[in-house]
Amino acid sequence: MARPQHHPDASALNWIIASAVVVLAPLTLEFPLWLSFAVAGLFAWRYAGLHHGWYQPGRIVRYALTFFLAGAVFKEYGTLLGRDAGMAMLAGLIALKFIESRTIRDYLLVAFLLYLVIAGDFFYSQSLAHGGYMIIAVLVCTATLIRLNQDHARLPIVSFRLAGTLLLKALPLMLVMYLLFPRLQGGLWGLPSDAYAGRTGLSDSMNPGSINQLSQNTEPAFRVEFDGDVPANKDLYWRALVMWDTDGREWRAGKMMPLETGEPKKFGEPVSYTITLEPSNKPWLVALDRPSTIPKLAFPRSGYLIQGRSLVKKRVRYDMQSQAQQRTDKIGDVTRQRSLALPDNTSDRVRRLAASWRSQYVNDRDVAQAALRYFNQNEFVYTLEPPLLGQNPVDEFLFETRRGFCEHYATSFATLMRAAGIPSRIVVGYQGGEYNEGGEYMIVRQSDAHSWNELWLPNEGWVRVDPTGAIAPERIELGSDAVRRLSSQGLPLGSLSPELLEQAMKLGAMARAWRNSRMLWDNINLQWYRWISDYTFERQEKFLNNLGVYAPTWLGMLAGLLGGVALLTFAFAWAMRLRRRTRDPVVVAYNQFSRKLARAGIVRGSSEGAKAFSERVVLSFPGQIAAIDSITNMYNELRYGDGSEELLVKMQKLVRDFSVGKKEAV
Amino acid sequence: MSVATNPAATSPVDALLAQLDQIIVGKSEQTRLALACLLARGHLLIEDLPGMGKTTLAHALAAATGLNFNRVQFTSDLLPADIIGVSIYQQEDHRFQFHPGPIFTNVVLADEINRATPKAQSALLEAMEERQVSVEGTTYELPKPFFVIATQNPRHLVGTFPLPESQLDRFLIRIEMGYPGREAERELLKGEDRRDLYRSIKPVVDGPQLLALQEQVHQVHVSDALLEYVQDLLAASRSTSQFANGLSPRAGLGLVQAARAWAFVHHRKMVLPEDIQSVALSVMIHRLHPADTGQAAPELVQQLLDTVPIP
Repeated sequence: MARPQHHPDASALNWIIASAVVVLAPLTLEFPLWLSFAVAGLFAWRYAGLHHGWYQPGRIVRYALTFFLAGAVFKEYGTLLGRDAGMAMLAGLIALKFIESRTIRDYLLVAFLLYLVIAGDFFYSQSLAHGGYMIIAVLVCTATLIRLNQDHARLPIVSFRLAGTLLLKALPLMLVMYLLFPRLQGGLWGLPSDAYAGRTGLSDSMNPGSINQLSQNTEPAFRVEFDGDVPANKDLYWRALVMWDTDGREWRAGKMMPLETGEPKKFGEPVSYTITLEPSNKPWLVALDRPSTIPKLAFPRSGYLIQGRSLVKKRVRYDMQSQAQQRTDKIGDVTRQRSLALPDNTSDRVRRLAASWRSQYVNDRDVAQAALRYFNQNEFVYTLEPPLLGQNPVDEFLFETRRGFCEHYATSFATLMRAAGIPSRIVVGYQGGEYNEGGEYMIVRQSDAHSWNELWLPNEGWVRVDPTGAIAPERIELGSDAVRRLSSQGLPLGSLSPELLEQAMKLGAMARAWRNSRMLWDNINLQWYRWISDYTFERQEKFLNNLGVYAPTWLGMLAGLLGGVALLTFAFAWAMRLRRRTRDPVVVAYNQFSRKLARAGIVRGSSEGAKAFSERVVLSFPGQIAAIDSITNMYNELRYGDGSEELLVKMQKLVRDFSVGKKEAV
Repeated sequence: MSVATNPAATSPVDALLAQLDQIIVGKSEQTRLALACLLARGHLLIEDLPGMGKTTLAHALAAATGLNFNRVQFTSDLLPADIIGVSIYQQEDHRFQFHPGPIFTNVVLADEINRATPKAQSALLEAMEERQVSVEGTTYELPKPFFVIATQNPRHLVGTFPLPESQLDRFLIRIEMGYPGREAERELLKGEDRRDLYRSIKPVVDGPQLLALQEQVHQVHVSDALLEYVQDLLAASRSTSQFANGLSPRAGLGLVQAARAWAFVHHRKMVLPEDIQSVALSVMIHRLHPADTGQAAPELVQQLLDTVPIP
């Protein structure tokens, strides 16, 4: 019973304040500091007014505050629209509404606006933890609404229990709405453009140390679910980018090359898998070397790459297939030129080294082998903490420092190969991954970032060569995590006996438990994403296909949704009815009698006894007094006395024969 | 409801009612409730202003049933011994002998019970519940039938000790006499003194007959469907926030028992929901207290009856 002019008691307002705190708290991470303080201050002001009789602002002050808020938000964001400015305005206006609230109606409005904030909050994050928090927020808001509608203060648990029951009862309805609400291709509410910014990850240029930066970053880059067996770690090369151009120090992806033509020769078993890529704010998508299909949301690029149709600003999920393959057709002139281009600062030492191999071997493959041997047999060290290199990093690395990791080896190797006249390029991506046994998927982290080379060999096409494998096979076979663990134990890479390696890799019980719980949490998050955040048009279509509905139209789905909701409501009402429904034939017969009278215009009240009802009825139908009295007496006798079966039969006959016209004049 | 004055009534119940209605004019509802209360082996609480005929009703009930009758006027200096009785030392045989108090009778009229101290009140109420009295280790059975009619002045009058809720619960039915109608009052004013009138009443039943009637009341059929209704009412009284607390199981028992007696008074062999509704107000009114003092208990009870559907 909402009484619009009713003034709620002060403790009910504490509820509003509490729910505002719960709802707005996560937003303080996004809001500028002044706004958080302003909103908190306004709530505190109202609280002080309620409980300590402080001065409360009048109309003019409130108007001034509103204009001030709008001005400040505009100054902060340069607009009043969009996600950040919009949410800031909403929070500020709620605080202002609260300060001018007097009647229950005002407070109800504040509570409803808080629900809007909860919805808006999902612009910032759709993670599982966030979702869980928001469920609590909805519960608190609902309990507050209930509390506001109570005439007397009751225990908080009463409001919470009722709120919980209400939300649980709404759950089936929510599920139907969730599964069937038409989802538009491209999204009905496109996220504001500022939704995802400042993501770390690979970039389309490579400086010395740029991958090293990532090696400390254990954030997931993407997750992979394999349809069949999981390939061995050493085969898990995830392509993202190809670098062609260098100035001797920095490598860049550079201009796009024309797409390779001709059908490649495929061999080996195809591997099917699904990738869930974390937002990178970059256009490229990763795929296992080498992709043989192109997902819907992408197009192919030269270098066996795939690129999204837009920047990856939120998680994307796509199905892929990869297969070992080669193109033996000729390399184009432009490509050849670019993959042989040596930077001007290539030192004589480098050129001489390459020339010595070139003169020694005819075969390109043997030259590459010689280079790998060079790395392996000289004192090169794989380390994540290499010394800084100057203006000519390749020369310094090859002949002086000899300490580095994948990008040092890849850039040096590419330079050496080019100097030896073998077309080569650098591929940047990820290598390896951590398998989540519980969820049966693989997590590839930013720290798994890797770079390797590809050489153009006649009759073989582009062939992958990974010089890092020559120095630190552990990196390729066991993954980046193993390398970190081995280095932290001070063990040298590349020369460990298998026994020692196994011992070093063994995890303690604590570490195992920690890893398992991390994996479990990651798995829950992925499933949340699969079913909640990524429930897109395509997934919905797939779900409907499973239900036997094909090619749903927007209108058809809307009809289905409304039908589903109606069906659910009807089922619920029916269940309620069934629960109350009595199988007692006496009641059935009497209800038939009541219905006949109801049609004639006399309705029995739910709390009206049969006798009291009959006394009322005979006033309108004095002619039927005998039948009415008999039926009533029989009913009472059968239901409340100990009537016999014959009496019931008699009553049923009387009820059948009973008929009344329109209400007789009294 | 018409006033039944048929002297040739066949059933003792009708005869009793006819006698009562002769003396208490125009209050057939109250006399029926009072009789139902007696037949249901309950105790009756009458609350009204002085001079409304409370004592007359008690007298008439006792006279018509031919039962022994004692009246105790409750005052602020009344002691428990004044009600129960006292043991007095006998000089001759050197021992105490118990002298029964006025409570040792069939019908006790506890007049203005809320003028006495709680101590004296509790002495009576204990006897009401147990139907026996313990004095210095000896238990004395009270005569059968035993029926207490307590009258009480409205609480807001000066010099009263309101009965606590736990003791109000001991009374099966609470009625108010109310002002008589204009016709009835005219008759009252014209006629002879009521007190003379009831002295001339000839008893319709005697003690054993009354006990038999009480036994018959107990035989009135109560169906599961009716108990369902009673339970719905109890549950509703407990779940609504309008009352400070809901009805106790004893109140539920009382409701069924009073409805049985009411059905019996109306010559029915089974209890109907209407019987429950007829006695509900009188059974519930002193047991339910509005949570909000601004609301009147009778209206809330009526609201309860109107909202709980008959299953």
